[in-house]
Amino acid sequence: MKMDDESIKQNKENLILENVVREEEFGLNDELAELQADYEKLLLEYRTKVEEKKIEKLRGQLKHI
Amino acid sequence: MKFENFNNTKENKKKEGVGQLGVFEQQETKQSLSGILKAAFEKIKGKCAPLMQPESDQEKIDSSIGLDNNETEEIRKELAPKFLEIKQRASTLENIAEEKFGLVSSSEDSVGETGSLEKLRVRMQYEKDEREKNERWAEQRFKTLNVQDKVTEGATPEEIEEAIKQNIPEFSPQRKRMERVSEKYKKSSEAVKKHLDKYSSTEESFEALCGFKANGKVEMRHGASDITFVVEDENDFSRVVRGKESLSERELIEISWIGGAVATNKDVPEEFRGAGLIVLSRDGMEKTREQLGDIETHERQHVTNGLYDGEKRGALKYVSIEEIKKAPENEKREKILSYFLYKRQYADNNKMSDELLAHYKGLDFANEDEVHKKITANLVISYREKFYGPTVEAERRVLERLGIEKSLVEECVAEIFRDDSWRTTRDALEGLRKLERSGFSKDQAINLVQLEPLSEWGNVADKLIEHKDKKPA
Repeated sequence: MKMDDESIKQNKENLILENVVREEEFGLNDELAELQADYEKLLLEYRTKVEEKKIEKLRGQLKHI
Repeated sequence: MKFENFNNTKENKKKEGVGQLGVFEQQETKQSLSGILKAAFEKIKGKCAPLMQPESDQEKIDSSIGLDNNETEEIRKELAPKFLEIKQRASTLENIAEEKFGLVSSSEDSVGETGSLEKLRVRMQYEKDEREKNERWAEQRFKTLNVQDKVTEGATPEEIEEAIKQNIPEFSPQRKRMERVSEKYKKSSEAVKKHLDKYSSTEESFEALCGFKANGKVEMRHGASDITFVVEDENDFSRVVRGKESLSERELIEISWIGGAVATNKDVPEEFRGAGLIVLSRDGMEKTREQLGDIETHERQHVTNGLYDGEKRGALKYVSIEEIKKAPENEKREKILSYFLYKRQYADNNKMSDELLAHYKGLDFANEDEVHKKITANLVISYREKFYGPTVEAERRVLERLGIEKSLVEECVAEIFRDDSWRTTRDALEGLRKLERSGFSKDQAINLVQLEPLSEWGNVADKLIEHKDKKPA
C-alpha cells in the first residue's frame, strides 16, 4: 500500500488541526487555571471564616466552664 | 475526505510490511486527533465539575474544623454570590470547551467519513486565521500607539513625523489617518509657537486671542498645541464662551454651570477656533484647585480629540429611504432600526465619543462604579437631546411623509436613540476601563480607541487585551 498525494495532504492537514486543537486546549487551560486559583482563594476565605466561627464557639464554651 | 488505511491497525500494517513512517503517522494522527479532542473536552469538563458544586469542598472544610452545616450556614449565605460567580464562569468555560472539542461523536470517529471533523477543521482553521489576523492588526495598532503617545506627550511635529515613518507602513490606512492627525497637530503647534513669540504678556495674548481686553485677572498656560486662560471675572468667561457681551438670563444661568470650554466664537482667530484655545472660569462654581484641574484636563482632552476628528469610521451599512418604502410590513421595523442606527453614527463617532473621552480623562476613578454610572447617565441623558435631537426631528418628518405609523417610528426612536445609545456608551466606557485595568495608562486607553467607531470600543479593547503580548516593551 502506498501513500498517495491525497493521503499525504490529508495527513498534513490533520497535523495542522492537531496543533490547532492543542493551542485551543492550551488557551482554555490558562483560563481554567485562573478560575481554579480564584476558587481556591474563595475556599480559603470560607475556611478562614469557618475557623473564626469555631474560635468564637470555643470562646463561648470556655466562658461557661 | 477519506482515510483509506483507517481500519488497519498499526500491527496489521507491520505484518503487511508497510511500516513506512508516513502510514503510521496518518493513522496515529487520525486516532490521536479524536483522542485529543475528547481528552481536551473531558479534562476541562472534569476540572470544572467540582467548581460548580462547592458544597462538597465546603463540607470537607466544615468537618475538618469541627462545625456542622447549620453552624456554617450564615457563612455560606454570605459567600454565596462569590461561589455563584465561580459556578457561572466554570459553566461558561465548559460550554466553550464543548463547542470547541465536543463536536465529534464516537460513531463518526470510527467510520472514516470525516463530516464532523471536516466541519471542525474548517472552523478551527478559520478561528486560527482570525486570531492571526487580529494578532497582526494588534501588533500594528500598538506601533501606531507609539506615535499617538508622542502626540499626548507634546513632542515636536518633526518627532511625530519621524515616529510615523518608523512605526506605520506607507500606504496603510492607519498611516493616512495618522498623517492627517500629525498635520493638524503641526498647524496647532506652529500657531501656538507663533503666538507666544509675538505676544509677551498674558493681557496682550488674551486680547489677541479672545478679541477684547479682560476686566479681571487672567492666568495663562500652554501646551504644545493649546493655550489656556484661567479667568476670574465671570463676564470675561461668558464673553469668550458665548462670543457676545450681554447675555440673557437663561444664558447666564447656563454659563454659570460651565466650568470651562474650548472657545469656538467668531472673534477667536481661525487657527485657534474650536481647536487650541481653552478658557476656564475660576469663579463660576467656586471651584477648588482640584476641580479646576479636572476641568482643564477635560477641556484639553477635547483639544486632543479634535486632532482625531473625522478619523473614526463607522462600518454600518447604509439603509436608504427607498429600502424602508419597499420593505414588507413585517420587515419595516428592522429597516427603520438600521436606518436610525446609521443616522446616529455620525453623532456617536464625533460628538458622543468626544464627550466620553473628555469625561473619562477628567474624572478620578477612585469609585469606579459610581463614576461609570455617572458618566453614562450624564452623557446619554444630558447630551442625547443636544447630539441626536436635530437628527431625530428631521427623520421623524421624513418617515411621516412615507406614511409610516407614528407609533412604530416612536418605538424605533426610543430603541436606537435612547436604549441602544445607552448600551453603546456603557460598553464603550467599559472598553476603556478594561484597557486601563489590563495595564494600559489612561492616555493609552484613550489613544487606542481614538481611531475606532464608538460602537466598536468594547470589541477593540478585547482584541487588544488578548494580543497585549504584541505590544513592544
